[in-house]
Amino acid sequence: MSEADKMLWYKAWTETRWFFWPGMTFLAASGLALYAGYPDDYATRFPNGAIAVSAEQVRALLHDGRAYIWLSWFGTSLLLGLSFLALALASTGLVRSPDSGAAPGVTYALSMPVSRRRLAGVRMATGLLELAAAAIVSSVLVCALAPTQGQSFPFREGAAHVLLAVSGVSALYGLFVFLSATLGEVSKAVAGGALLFLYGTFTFLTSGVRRLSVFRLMTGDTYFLRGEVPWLGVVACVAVSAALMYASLRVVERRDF
Amino acid sequence: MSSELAIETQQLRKSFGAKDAVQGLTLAVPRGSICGFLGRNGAGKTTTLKMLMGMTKVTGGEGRVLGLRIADAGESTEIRRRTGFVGEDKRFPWSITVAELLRFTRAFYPRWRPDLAERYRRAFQLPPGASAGRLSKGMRSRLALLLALARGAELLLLDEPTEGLDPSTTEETLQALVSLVAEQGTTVFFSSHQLAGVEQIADRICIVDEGRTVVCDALDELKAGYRRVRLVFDGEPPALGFETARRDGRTLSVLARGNADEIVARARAMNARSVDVQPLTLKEIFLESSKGAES
Repeated sequence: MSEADKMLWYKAWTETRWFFWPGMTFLAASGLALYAGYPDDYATRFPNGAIAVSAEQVRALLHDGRAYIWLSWFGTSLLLGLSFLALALASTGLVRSPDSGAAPGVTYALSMPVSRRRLAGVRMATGLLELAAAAIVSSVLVCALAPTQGQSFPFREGAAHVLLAVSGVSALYGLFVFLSATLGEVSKAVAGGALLFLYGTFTFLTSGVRRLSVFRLMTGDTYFLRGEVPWLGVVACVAVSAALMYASLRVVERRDF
Repeated sequence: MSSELAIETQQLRKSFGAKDAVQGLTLAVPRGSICGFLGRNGAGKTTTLKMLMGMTKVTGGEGRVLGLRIADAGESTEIRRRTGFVGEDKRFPWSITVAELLRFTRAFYPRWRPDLAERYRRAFQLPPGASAGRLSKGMRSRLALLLALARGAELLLLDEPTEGLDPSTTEETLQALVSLVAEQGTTVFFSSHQLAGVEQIADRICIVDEGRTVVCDALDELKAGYRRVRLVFDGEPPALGFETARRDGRTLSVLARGNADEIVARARAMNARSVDVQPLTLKEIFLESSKGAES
C-alpha cells in the first residue's frame, strides 16, 4: 500500500473515530451491563416480547441464561447499537448539506490528486470496518463474560450471530450512506430514521413479510432457534449494501461541489 | 491549444439548472505569470476555479490546465497532482490537527517542500497540535495557503487567498507568491477583491462579468490602453460621439480604451480649451470594465 493510500485510510479514520469510539464504548458498556444486572428470573425481563420474538415465545425460551444472552445482547442491544452507529458513521460522508454542498474539509480533499470514487470508497469501507469491529469486540466481551454468571455462550455461536448482525447492518449502512449522498444533513437523518422505523415496524409486525425484516436477520433467531444460518438473507443484505454504496459513489462522482 | 499556456479556456460554460454561472469564458494565462482574476460577486470566478480543478463539471466549451483537459477525469487527477489550490471554502474537519493535515497532504505530492511547510507554519504561527477545524477564519486561510504553497506545484489556483488575513500576513503572502514565481517559475492564478494587492504583484489581469471575459491582458498593456481624457470647453461641451463620455458642466470626461489619441484629436478639432490625459488605476479599470453589466 502506498503512503498516499495509507493516508487516505488514516484520514477516514480520524474523521470517523469520534463516532466509532463512543459507539464502541456504548456497546461494550451495554455488554457489561448485561451481567451487572443479571436477573434472577429471565422471563420478567421481556414481558412484551422482543424484536422478532413474541411474548409467548419469550416465555417459552427464557428458561436458561443462554437464551437470555441471545435476546438481550444479539436480539436487542447489539442490533440497536449497531443501527445507530451506522447512522452516525454514514453522516461523516462527503455531502453535508444541499446549500453548502460539501462537508467541512471536503473542498480540500477534492483538491487532492485522488479520484472521488477512491476518496468516497475508502470512507465507506472505513465505516463498514468500524461497524464490524464494534460488533466483534463487544460480542467477544459478552461471550467471554458469560462464565462469570455460570453461563456459557460459545464463541463459535457468537461468531455466527456477529456475521448476521454485521451483514444486516451493512444494508442499513448502505441505505444511510445513500441518503447521505443524495439528501442534506437534517433531512438525511430524519428520512433515514423514519424509513428505518417504518420498514422495521412494517416487516416485524406483518407476519407475511416478517422474513424480509433486516432486524429479524440481525437477531439471528433462525440460527439460535433452529441452528440454520439464513444465507439467502446474508447474501441479500450484502448485495443491497453493495448496490446502495455503488449508487452513492456514482452520485458523488457526478455531483458538483 | 498552446503548451506555453498554464491555463487556456475557450467558450467555457457552466449552468446550474436555469442559471448560467459561466457563459463562454475564454482565458489564456501564460506559464510563469501571476494573473489576477477579477470580477464582482457572482461573476463566475469561483465556479471557474472549481471547473479548472475538476470539482465542478463543465457544461460546455473546452479548458486545459498545464496542457491537460479539465473535463477528463484521469487528466483532472493529474492536474490536481501538479496544482496547489486554495478554495473559497476554507473549512477543515475539526477532527484532524494541523500536523495530521500536513502529514496527510505531503503523502500525495512527490515534490512536497518540507522546508517551505515548516517556514510558513512558523511564519503563520500555526500550532501543530491545534484542531484544523477550530482555527479562526484568518488562521484557516493561513493553513490553506501553507498547504498550497508547500506542494511544490507548477500552478497555484487561489480563490481569495488573503481573505481574513491582517495587512502584515497579506503582505507576507503576496511576497511568498512573488518568490515562488521567481524561484520555481510557478504560475499563479488568483481571485481577489483587494485590488491594491493584485496590482502590486500581478503581471496579468483577467476581468470577468456575468460569466464572460471582459478583459484578459498583461497589466502594463491594460493600463496603457486605458486613459481618462478630461476636456474643458468654453461653453457647453459638444457631442464627440463617444459612448464612454460623461458631461459635467463645461467639462467632458471620456474613458479611452486604446483610442486616447483619437479622442484628443477630435477634442482639439472642436476647440477644447484644455485637454488632460490621465492613466487609470487598476481599480478604476475594474470599475469601468464591470459597469456595462450593471446598467
